[in-house]
Amino acid sequence: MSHTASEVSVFTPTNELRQVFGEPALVGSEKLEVYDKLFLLIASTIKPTDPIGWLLTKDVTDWAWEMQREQVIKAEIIKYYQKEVVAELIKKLAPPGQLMSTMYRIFQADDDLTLWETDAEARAKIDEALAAKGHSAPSILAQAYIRGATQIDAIDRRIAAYERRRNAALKEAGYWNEGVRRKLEQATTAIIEGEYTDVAEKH
Amino acid sequence: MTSDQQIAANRNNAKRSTGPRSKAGLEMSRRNALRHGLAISAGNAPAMHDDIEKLARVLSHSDGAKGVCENARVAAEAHLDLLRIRNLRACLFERHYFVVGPASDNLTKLNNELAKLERYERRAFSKRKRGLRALR
Repeated sequence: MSHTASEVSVFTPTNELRQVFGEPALVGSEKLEVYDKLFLLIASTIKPTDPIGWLLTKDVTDWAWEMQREQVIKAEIIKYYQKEVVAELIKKLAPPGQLMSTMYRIFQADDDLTLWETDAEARAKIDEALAAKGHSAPSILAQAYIRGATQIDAIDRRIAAYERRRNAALKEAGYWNEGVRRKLEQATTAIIEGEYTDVAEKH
Repeated sequence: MTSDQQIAANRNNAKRSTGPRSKAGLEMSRRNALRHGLAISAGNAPAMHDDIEKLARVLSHSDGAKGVCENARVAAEAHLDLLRIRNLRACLFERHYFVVGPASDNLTKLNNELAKLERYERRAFSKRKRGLRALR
């Protein structure tokens, strides 16, 4: 994306349109400033000149935003199931002997799981110990995917539907203005690619 | 293919069904359209009338027209339906995911509810496309 936030202040919809659009539908810790930045970024690339251009800009922004939201949730779901798998496997790290093993499972396994989640160094050690027992990180991830398969599949289907609609909006923009369509396509592809990288880096 | 005799039998049977009769049944069916409100288009929701007119006026002017044309109104209604669907989707995410966390049951509920919105969004999107194209 060639624009920075400071460069995109000039393109805003009319007050009348802004009133109709209302507040964007944000959830969880999503920030209005971040949404506005994305909207302005797309708008500054497209430079809509009429209300229909603004409608399509709003559409593309909203679908790009929702795709990003689904990607973040998908990553969180994988993490959730990964933790669930590790929570079960970590009990196999109990020291030998029935008493010691029971003590570990009751008193220490949860702490180790918390460490696995929060402390990179401790996580590496636990991963190593699990790998020694035949549970490598990729195999744990694979199990997490299997557990979350239904949910992940539903998210992927929704992302595909948003993408179809975004593409249909792009096509519609082309119906009105070929220049706008090209700009929209370039802008959103760059943004979505950026989002995937960002999500992958965060998780 | 259904025979005429079968069609007549179906119609007779249907006449015998008069819908819910008990107080509880009537109460439940009375709320059918209010579950998420999307079965009723924005055009039939009095609360959205002003917004529809405002957007229809803006869209009509982009075409150079002086008054508000019907196609602009159709496109405006459909656009506001799309915005309603997005808001509802956000509410569902908030209720079934962000408030309660990613447990399996919550996610199943969320996915089922979101799947129901799909056909409304598809319909609104097509309607708006038709409206905007007719404006051209």
